[in-house]
Amino acid sequence: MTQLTINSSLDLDKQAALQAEFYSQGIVRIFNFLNTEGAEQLAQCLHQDISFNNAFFLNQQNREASDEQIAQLPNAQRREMYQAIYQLAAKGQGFLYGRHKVAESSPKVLTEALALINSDDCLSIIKNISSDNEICHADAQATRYRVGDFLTRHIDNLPGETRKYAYVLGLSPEWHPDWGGLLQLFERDGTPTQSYMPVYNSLTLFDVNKVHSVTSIAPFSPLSRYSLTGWFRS
Amino acid sequence: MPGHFFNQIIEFLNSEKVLNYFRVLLSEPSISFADAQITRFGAGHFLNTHDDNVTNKNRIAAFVINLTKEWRPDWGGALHLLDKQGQITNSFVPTFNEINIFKIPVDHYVGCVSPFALQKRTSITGWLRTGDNPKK
Repeated sequence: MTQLTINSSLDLDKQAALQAEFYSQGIVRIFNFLNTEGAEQLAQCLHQDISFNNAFFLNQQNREASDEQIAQLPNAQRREMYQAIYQLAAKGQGFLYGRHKVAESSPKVLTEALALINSDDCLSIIKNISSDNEICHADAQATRYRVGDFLTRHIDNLPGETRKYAYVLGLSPEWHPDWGGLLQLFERDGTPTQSYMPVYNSLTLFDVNKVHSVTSIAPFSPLSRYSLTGWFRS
Repeated sequence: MPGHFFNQIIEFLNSEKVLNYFRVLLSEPSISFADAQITRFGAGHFLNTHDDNVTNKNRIAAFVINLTKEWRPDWGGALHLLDKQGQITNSFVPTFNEINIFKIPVDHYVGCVSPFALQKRTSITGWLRTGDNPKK
């Protein structure tokens, strides 16, 4: 297996430009973040080797269920469940997407990705771009958005959490914006600002105080939206 | 449709005052008329990427007058403009009584309205054009 590395072209000059952009925008996108082979292996793992749990918000609780568990529900009950999730979404609450928390039992390429994100090299790049020396570690989860999946508008800065910067590493090749799944940022009052369509092997980094959403995947999307995502923490 | 309220809107958009407003705003003195249609997007509706450039239509700019009250951004249906690399440059969530105007050709699309949207996205859209109005 090829080793996962950060693309060597992300030199100090590039980091300085990204730092300036992050300072003014609170968000940057780093294209071609990983080495080519590493990104391919990671993408392949997410597309083929992971069983995702569907995460959703229902009855005031964050819930999780595997694809099989949902498939086994009687039709009427499954329909009711989705209707209830969508009713909350209509009011701007909740989410529905597949996730796999990266842990020791995860496929090797995922644990390597987590180690890479926590490496001195990576942390020093993120510290540099964010001008924040308090960052000391990061977590990671693989995510899958299928047709109809979404994440409504929210902020990641939860009380009692140490989250400082959210990251999203796009792992769907050749996404089209028509298919939805945009990372959409908002002003505090709900006015939309920037939208980012998923770009393969790009790392989007943003301040956890930014209001954001993932727009729902269009019913005609031929692909699912895969990414590796998490938070750099203090 | 004789007597329909929409005729007054077409007349309003084609009044000298309004056309002048657009001519100045867009620095396009050759704008001579506007056409318009009423559009409605329900859950699952979409308009995929295109650039509005149709031969012989003489379109200078496109406009969208948003007429849905209290649209929620989570419901989708935003107007997104793209650059030549296919990256999104601007996104406009439907906002009541707001007009979005952009010069064409430029790639743009209306994002798919989410399956859980509670309202229809209604707007008056059209183009500011040069030359003779074929409807006159």
